[in-house]
Amino acid sequence: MARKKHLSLGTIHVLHALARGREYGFDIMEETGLGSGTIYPALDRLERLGFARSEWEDALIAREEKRPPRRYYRITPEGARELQEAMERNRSLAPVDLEPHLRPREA
Amino acid sequence: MIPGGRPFRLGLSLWLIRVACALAPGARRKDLAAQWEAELLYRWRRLEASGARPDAASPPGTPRPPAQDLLFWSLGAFQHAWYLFKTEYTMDLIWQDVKYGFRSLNRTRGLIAIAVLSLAIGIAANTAIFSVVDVFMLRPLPYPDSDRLHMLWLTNQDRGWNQASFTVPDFVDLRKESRTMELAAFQGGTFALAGDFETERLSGLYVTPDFFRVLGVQPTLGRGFTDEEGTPGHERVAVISHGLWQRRFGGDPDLVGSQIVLDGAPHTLVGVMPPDFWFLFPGGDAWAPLSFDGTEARNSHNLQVLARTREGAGGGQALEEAQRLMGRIAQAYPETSAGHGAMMLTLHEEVFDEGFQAGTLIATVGVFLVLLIACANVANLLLTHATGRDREVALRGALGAGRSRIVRQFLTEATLVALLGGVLGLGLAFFGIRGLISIMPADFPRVHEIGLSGRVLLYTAAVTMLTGILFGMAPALHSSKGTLTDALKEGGRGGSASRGGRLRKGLVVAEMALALVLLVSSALLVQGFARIRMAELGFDRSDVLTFQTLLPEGLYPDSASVADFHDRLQARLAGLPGVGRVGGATALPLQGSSGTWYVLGGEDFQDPAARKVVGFKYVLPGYFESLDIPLLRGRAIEEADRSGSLPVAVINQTLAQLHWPDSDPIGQQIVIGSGPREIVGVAADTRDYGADSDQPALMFMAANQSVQRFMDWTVEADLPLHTLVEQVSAQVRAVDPNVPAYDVMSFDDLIERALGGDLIMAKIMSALAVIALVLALGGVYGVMAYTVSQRTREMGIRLSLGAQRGNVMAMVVRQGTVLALLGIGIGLGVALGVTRGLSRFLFGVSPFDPLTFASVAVVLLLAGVLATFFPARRATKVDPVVALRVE
Repeated sequence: MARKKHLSLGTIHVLHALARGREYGFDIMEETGLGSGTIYPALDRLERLGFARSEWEDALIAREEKRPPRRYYRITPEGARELQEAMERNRSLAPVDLEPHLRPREA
Repeated sequence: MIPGGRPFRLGLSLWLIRVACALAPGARRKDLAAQWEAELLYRWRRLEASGARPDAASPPGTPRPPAQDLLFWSLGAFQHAWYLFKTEYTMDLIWQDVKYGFRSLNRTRGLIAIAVLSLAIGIAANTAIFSVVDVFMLRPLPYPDSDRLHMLWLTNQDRGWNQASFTVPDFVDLRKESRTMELAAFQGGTFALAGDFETERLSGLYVTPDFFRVLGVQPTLGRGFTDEEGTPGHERVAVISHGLWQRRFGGDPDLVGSQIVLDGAPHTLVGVMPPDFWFLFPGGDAWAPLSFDGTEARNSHNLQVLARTREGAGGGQALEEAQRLMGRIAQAYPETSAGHGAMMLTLHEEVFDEGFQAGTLIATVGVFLVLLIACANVANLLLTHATGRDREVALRGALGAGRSRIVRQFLTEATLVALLGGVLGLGLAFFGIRGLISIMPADFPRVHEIGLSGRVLLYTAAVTMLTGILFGMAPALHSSKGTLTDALKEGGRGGSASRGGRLRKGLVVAEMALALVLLVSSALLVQGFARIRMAELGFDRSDVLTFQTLLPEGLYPDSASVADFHDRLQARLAGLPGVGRVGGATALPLQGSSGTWYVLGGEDFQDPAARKVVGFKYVLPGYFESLDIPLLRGRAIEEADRSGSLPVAVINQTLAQLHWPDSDPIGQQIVIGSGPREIVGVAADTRDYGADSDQPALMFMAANQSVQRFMDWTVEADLPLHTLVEQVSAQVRAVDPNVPAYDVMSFDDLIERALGGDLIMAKIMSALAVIALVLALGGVYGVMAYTVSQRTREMGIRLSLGAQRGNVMAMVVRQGTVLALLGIGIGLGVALGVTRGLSRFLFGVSPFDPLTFASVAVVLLLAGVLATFFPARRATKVDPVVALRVE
């Protein structure tokens, strides 16, 4: 599925935000300053490429706040490797500790 | 899901998200909506929790309130939906659909070819007309800030003037007082440009020196006029057109500053206008400054006024001011100006007047109807194409193709047909546009700009896509509706095709109705056209050749030399074999005439109350005879009426009735500015302004009693007129090689040129009607042929059970006739509502002319029956045995 193709700068920024622990569209928006029309498709693309995966939020937490559950995203080890490469190409990204993301997480 | 009592902006955001999600591919729709709504509501709760009222006005220092931010944020959902759509519907899939579509269309090549051709014709007609509408109606005029340019006109309700020229003092006052407008004045004029070998007649304008500045266009070479050049007695100067500069002076860049001779007087050439410059109408070649000396009368209306509203002043404000200023003038000078007012048109309205507006609207509606007919045709053909595929569709469904996939397949095929039609249509439009340009009269502005521009191409693309979706809809809906089992079973039946049959017949009825509307419209227009051409105008022009001459002032300085030229040319022309009487006038019938003040003998010419206006022209002896205009009393203008003899005039019947209803006008006097004239004859009225206008009062004076260097000649001949063209030109050259004969053509051609602007509608609509008829009949034929082929088995059974072939045939024809009748009935109703809008172009033909309506209906019915005849005959040829064996 994952074709070797450079990600766009916007998508890399989204991936970078995921690596820094942002999990939701809105949080990523605040972190990156990108528009909603860029971030959500980028998240879809990352998931499609296997660089991120998404889950729905625990319904209990949502119910407590009287709102529907949100979808949250996590970076995958493949995504972390991709980001590492991207950060070597692109020095403008703030350094981030990728070590925890490079290990496969137990589902 | 969403707790009640939600604030307005939140509701709007949610609604936006829902709209966006509806556009996403079905499989992802629910997920997408859930995600976006959840994010939005999360944010909203957070804002509420933080104590800020999200809907409140923005706190100082922040760009906008948070709620508004969320609204903008929701717009991102559209991008997300589009992204999903793109990934879902990949190029691969599109390509699959296209390949499949081509294969499927190829199976019924003939049908599809007809569909593509129908569509191409419809698209071509629309493209061609749009290319004209775009240039005439949509593009701004080629002057800077052209929307601020207006034409100001004088009005006077007491005197029935609703669009009159201004007088010099009026204009000077307006220009001085106006705060909202910059004003310039101009006057139409012709200039005789002297050359080494011949004099050329130029049309142009006398303009106030600031004219070019107000218009916003300056000469590209040299300069415009200075204010001093508009003062009396100043050295004469002129500006010429780029075309004239190229044609007469070889584009010599050093020409500016040199002298040219206009109207016998040397002028210093100060500027050359840009290549495509035109004002009001094409063809202006020379401009010279108007000068006012302050003695101009307040009752000589001869200035047209161009106004540019100043920055910040609207048209309404400017008009209000103009009316106020004119009101003041009316009060100050009641004897000349009582009742004066003002009205204003935008320059665009002035150039492209109601005639253009109505014409382009009618043509646009016309081509739209043609496109509708074409679409109905194509929808029908595609329905036919689709009906044969019920089983294929069912099979695809059974193999797991979703409904959306099948609909998409049909839409893809429709789009393919539309694209083919669009490309072919564009090719046809190229020729269509050329044809349109070729029938446009020479005085239409901006004609050279008409063509396949980027905007036109965009329009064609839009029309193509729209039609593709429009007629693709029918088969798509039709095919996705049926149930699987039905379709798989149906194959065995082959009976009367009921599914889609009603839709198909409805389309044919609509086509017939639309075609009828177009046919009636064009029949009415053509009648109006014929009425003009055949109208009794009071003179016989069928055997008259016309041309113009313009004598250079340097060579013909006085009355004697001009009259000598006239005499010699008249004698030479009359000597040509086959030529009858030869005459001439300063303006021919239908070319208008100048107006002048006059009083009757015994009245005081200086008394404004006694002065009246009459049209006049100067004529040569032989004028009335060559046009067969009867003389009712007295005599015509004769050879002996020349300089030195008693000044005479012939008046027309209208003028005679006006002043001498019960007595003989012969011997009475009529006084114009240049002195008294004795009336020697009364000529019958001619309809000088066309068949649909009243005849104005006219007087004819002897050309050789004044100095008339410009002449429109009339040569009566009993030969084919085109054979005379060369000889006439040669005779003019023989009299004086410096004087060329202009515009040598038959009077009929001249009239057609003069009326071209109105006749063009008849030509366009006739072409559209023919196209509509062919398309509609094609539609009737297609449906009947299809119905018959669907019922082969039924026919076979009927025949084998003993039905007569005649009965079977009658049955089919009857069905076609019913469709045609329905269409005609509906069409007649629609046409009655539509034709009223044409009346401007009908020249007196009633827009509800019963004979036209009846005959068009009959013709269409006959054609419709004929279109069903061939399929019907095929039905009777069915061999019962073969028919029963089908499937």
